[in-house]
Amino acid sequence: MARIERTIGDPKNITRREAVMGAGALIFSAFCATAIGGFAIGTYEKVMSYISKRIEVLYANDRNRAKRRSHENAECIELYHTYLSPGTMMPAKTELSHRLCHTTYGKNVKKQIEHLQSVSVEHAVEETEAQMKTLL
Amino acid sequence: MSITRETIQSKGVISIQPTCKGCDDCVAVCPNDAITVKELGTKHSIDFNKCVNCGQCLITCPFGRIEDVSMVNEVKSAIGDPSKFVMVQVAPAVRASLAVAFGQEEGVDAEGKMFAAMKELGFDKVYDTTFSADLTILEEGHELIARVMKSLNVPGYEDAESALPQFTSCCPGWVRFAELNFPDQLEHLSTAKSPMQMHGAVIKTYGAERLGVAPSKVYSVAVMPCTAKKFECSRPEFISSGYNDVDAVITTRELAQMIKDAGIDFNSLEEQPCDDLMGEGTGAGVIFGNTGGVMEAALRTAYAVLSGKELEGIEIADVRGEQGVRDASVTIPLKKEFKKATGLDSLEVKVAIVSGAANVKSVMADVAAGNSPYHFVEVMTCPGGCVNGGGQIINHDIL
Repeated sequence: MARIERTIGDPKNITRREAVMGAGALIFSAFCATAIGGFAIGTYEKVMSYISKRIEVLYANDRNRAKRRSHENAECIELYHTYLSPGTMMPAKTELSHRLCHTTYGKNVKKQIEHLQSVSVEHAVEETEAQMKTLL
Repeated sequence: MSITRETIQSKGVISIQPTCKGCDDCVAVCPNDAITVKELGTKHSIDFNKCVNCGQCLITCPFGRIEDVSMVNEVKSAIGDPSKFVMVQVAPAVRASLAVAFGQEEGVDAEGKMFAAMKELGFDKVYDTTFSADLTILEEGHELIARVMKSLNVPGYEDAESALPQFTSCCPGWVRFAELNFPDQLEHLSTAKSPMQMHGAVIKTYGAERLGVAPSKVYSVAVMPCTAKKFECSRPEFISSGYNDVDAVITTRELAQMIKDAGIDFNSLEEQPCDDLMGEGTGAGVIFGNTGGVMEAALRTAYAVLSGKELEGIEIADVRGEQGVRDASVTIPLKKEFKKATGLDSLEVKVAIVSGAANVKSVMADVAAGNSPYHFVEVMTCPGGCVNGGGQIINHDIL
């Protein structure tokens, strides 16, 4: 006897029972994955929140200070006026600024070391005083 | 295990112990792929020729099997030596983490007790690296202005560096990262030293002179949130004072241990300020420990220098945040002399901030191609900035 077609489309070769079980398993898996994923992301965020807390410590420390701009630092101003650029405040200009506050990288380092070893700080102080005579 | 400066330069700061379980957590956080793994589950090792000494692996290892070299014994020895005048500086980020070692929650500012503890430890002078952070802004800010003026063909700036964007150079992990990965772009690095190194050089020259101490007797120590600073202080070029500008670096962890070893009850200490002369710091200097902090500090001053006025509101929210690459633009109205010199009414200063050294690659690709839109870029190797440095108290929640 010929098999009577009972479906409209291609037979899927699974039973109704199997289809319902499969759908249920899929939904349950999606639920678990979302829950675990959410937990994982939540844990990660909670664990990494220590960084945000430390960041806020420094921003709060800044807010509580009377002076909040580097150019207002009286001890830095004093350092320039009496040593780095005597008589005034002139950053990044003199030999002393250059020697004490600046450096070099890569291939230029070797020459920098030789320079620092052969020229004394006293010489840099003298050179700075001479520079200030022309700059002021 | 004590270490000499020469050994640090040839072997690096960080090492993975033989007890490594091969779990790969460290590999995930290394910004320069410096951790070699032979096979799954085997002991890892650090390739010195790629390691930038940041210590992210160390603070991430769930089993505490990664170590950094120690200079603590040298420091204790110097403190105990009556012929040595020991001056110490402490970085901004240290105060944001130290209290956790003494049972406090994260988020406590330990500044006052930190200075008190260090005075009790026997340092002759206790300074705040916030002072030299301000100094760095003054030097580096003027360097940036000079590069920008030169790019606009303003006369008088011919001696300035040419390369734009200028990149910050205060992070020693980033400097080494740049030397290893971008050796042809080093002219973009600011010539300014890091605050720690400026402070060391100033301590042994200006400081020694003002205090009436012979520079040869000064022993210069720095407490840092950073393991790469141990590599930085041992660089042979940091001898501007005629001596090692910084003799030794200890981390926040090591300071906490020294305080415990000395039997000091940290939580009961009365708050103290640091010493004068090289200790005053402004809020701009303190935020150096945060990603975006150096940039914000620089902009607060650059704004004032270029416009002759102060930036309203002081805070610059656009450079804050924790994303790996951020950018912002600040329009600075020029004061008369700059208006005349440049022919412009205002300058639109474009800046970028990189948090986590590996994130710098896209920015550097544009720089190498010659089409970077920025004037100034801040790079910090440790995600979040120095507050999350490899030398900080390890947050046990992550283990």
